[in-house]
Amino acid sequence: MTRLLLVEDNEMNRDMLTRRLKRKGFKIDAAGDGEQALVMIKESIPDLVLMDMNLPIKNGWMTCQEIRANPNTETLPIIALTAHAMAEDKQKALDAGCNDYTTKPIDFPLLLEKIDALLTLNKKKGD
Amino acid sequence: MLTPPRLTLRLRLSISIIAIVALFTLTNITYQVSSENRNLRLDNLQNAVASQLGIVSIRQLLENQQKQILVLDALKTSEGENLSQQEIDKGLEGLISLQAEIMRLEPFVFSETANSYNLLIENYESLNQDWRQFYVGYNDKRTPSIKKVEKKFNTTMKLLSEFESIEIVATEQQTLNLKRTVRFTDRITLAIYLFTIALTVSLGYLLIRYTNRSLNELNKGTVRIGGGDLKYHIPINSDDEIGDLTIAFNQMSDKLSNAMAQVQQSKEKADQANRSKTNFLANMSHELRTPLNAIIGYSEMIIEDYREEKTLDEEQAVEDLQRILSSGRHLLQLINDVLDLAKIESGNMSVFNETFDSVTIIEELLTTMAPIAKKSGNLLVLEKSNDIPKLYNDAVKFRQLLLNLLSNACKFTQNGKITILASFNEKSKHAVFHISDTGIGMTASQIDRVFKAFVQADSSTSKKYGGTGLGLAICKQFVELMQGSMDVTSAEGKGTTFTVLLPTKAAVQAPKDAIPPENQQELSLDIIDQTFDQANQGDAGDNLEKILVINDDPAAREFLFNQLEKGGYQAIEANNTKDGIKIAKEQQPDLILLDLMIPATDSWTTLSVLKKSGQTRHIPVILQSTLGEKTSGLDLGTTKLLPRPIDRQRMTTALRHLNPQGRRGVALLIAPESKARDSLLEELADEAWQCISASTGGQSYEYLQEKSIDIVFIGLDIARAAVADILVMLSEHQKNSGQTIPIYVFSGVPLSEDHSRRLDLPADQIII
Repeated sequence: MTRLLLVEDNEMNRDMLTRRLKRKGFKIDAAGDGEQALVMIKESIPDLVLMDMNLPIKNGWMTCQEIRANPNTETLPIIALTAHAMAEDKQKALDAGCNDYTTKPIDFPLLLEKIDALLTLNKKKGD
Repeated sequence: MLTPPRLTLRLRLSISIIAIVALFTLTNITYQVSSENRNLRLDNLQNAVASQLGIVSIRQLLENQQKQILVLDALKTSEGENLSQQEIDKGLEGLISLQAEIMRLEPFVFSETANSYNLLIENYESLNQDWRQFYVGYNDKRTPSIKKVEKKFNTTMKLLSEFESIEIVATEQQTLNLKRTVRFTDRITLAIYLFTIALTVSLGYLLIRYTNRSLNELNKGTVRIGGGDLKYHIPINSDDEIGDLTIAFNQMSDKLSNAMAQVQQSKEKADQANRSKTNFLANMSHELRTPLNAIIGYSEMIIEDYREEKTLDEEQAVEDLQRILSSGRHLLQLINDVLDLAKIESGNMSVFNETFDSVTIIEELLTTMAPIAKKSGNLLVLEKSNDIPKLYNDAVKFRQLLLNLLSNACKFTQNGKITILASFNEKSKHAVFHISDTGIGMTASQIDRVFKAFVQADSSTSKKYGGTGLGLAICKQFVELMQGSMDVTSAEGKGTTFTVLLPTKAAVQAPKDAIPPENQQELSLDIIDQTFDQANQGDAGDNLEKILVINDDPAAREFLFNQLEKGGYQAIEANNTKDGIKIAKEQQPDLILLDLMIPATDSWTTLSVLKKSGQTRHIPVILQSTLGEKTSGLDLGTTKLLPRPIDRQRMTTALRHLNPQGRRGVALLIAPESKARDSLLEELADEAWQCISASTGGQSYEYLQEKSIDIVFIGLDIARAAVADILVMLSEHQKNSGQTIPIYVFSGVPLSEDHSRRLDLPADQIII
């Protein structure tokens, strides 16, 4: 089963996404801040990370950079989820190492497409 | 004391010209003098020459005469020949002309030659006499020989020679003097000429050089200033016209520089404002998206659940709906706060000053806040000094300000202590309020940003503690509107203290776009008229309508009183809510005007007391507010305002908002048959509502018991006693069933465009 790590500090949004994604057949691990996410990735690398950018303790941009800095997780697919909807915000997320970007409120079908696309791409690379 | 005259360019030129003219004149005078002198000397020389010639001729004549006489004398003695009378006369004539010749020398006699000349004359006269006698007595033989005259002649000749030599010396002297004079005058003339030329040249040079230098400086400065260096000051070298021009020019460039600086400043301000606006929009977008994410996400999820599984886990659904609701409320709060801020920034937030006791308000707030403080384990303490005077300021804003600060303190403090310290600064005449907590505190950089819109100390704070991040920005703006100041000190992990300073008496200032009091008043009279018109349709009430005004501001009360009397109503007054309730019970007014400016909670409490008591529940109450208090009404959650005969657009929006999924709801309409009711019925039917109409209280009560009602509309045209009854009944029903039913009151009267427009103003009124 595909395992996703959801990093989101807003309890409501975390709950909502976890439940919706579970229904779509994903296994979801959830972290409330960047630091916690890094610890969880260290323990076991998920197939894909959904990352909110405005996080307490360690924000999403820094967390992404650290994930990319680690050779084990260099190619780990990351999708940024953020309520910052300006063009430069998107660039900022991509610069931090995110593979893709989606704004809140989340268009769920689009998010699923993006997850699928990234997973397929990664699989091909792996093969 | 005399100040030396300013050496202006004009003065300089005048002096130069005068000097040159004076020198020229002097040159002329010297020339004239020397020329005269020369002429004089020249004359003298001519005289000397003439006298020399005279002397030569005299000598010749004397010698001739002597010879002639000697010849005649010899002839006389030897021949004894007589002379004819003619010959004698000729001889005498010769003597006379000789004498005349000698006398002609007289003008040429100088002082040096005078003696010699006199001696000459003396001798000659003696000689002349002898010669005359010779001629006269020639024919007389007795006349002696002339021989003895020889001696006299020789002396005369000798004297003549002497005179001549002296004359020559004198003439030589004269010539020398003439030469000297000529040389001297020539020198003077030359010197003056040279001096004049030198002076003219140097004056001209100085003038040109000096003027040129100033003009060059001026020109250089002009070019520099023209090139944009507005800070440049042209050096002032002279106290003259050019100096004046330079000063004027410098002043001009200063003014230009100031103007440029202002323009630059304005531009920077505009840029800053633009950046802030962009930032604000970005933040706003972010803040709105976060709750929207939950709303949309959960809603979609519920729909998915329902569609895909055809069953609904009710407990889960309610939980999710609660989340949607709370996100929606957060969104509303956000929008309200933003609107508040926008209102303040555009200058449309009016200030309503009145006299109030700040401590009373604080004490009320403490009661309100007590449950919230208790929830987070906080202790709420008020420390006050006894000398705080009553404040003349905006009481509603004061209340909201302190409420915000206290809520904040409670929000960021767990199991701590929140202290309000109220005191009075006698010197500055300011009331001072410290609101301290022992909460999480802030770092220095967080303190810097805390009053800025959309900035909580930490961006993740809002997620943990909630809030829109606009509260403190609004507080700060409020304090400024109230002519006070606000500051914050904080230590991370130890707590935060907000300090608010308010003047005891706020200066009167007309807020932009404020509605003049007359208009506000007309407005309330219109509403009163309409209320009565609707309520009294059946009554043959010729009686004077009695209106109770409950308002704590004496000025406002007096104003209302006058206006009501003018409008043909009998007005009675109460200056506080307690008296108001008492008077309402005793005097049974036909209508109550209750001011929302009395600490707002007080008004709402009063309203509920009035509506609960059997003695007063039938009396219509108009809540008055000069501020946009519509929000307070909305926050109460039950009663909403529809101030106009159903505005379709607004109505549709409201209905869709209530029923976003297009679910068929049940609406209860309590109103007698009327056009307004019919159009509302139509509207509701269009929006797929199931409508039930009731025209009496009893009827509606039955419906409420039997059916599940989602929304209630009450027409203002229903008998006024009935409206009150229905309101009480509805509130009881809600209490019993635990169901919250939105209640809309509609006026059902066509309002003129003017009225509608006014009703949209901040001075809108809530009609219950």
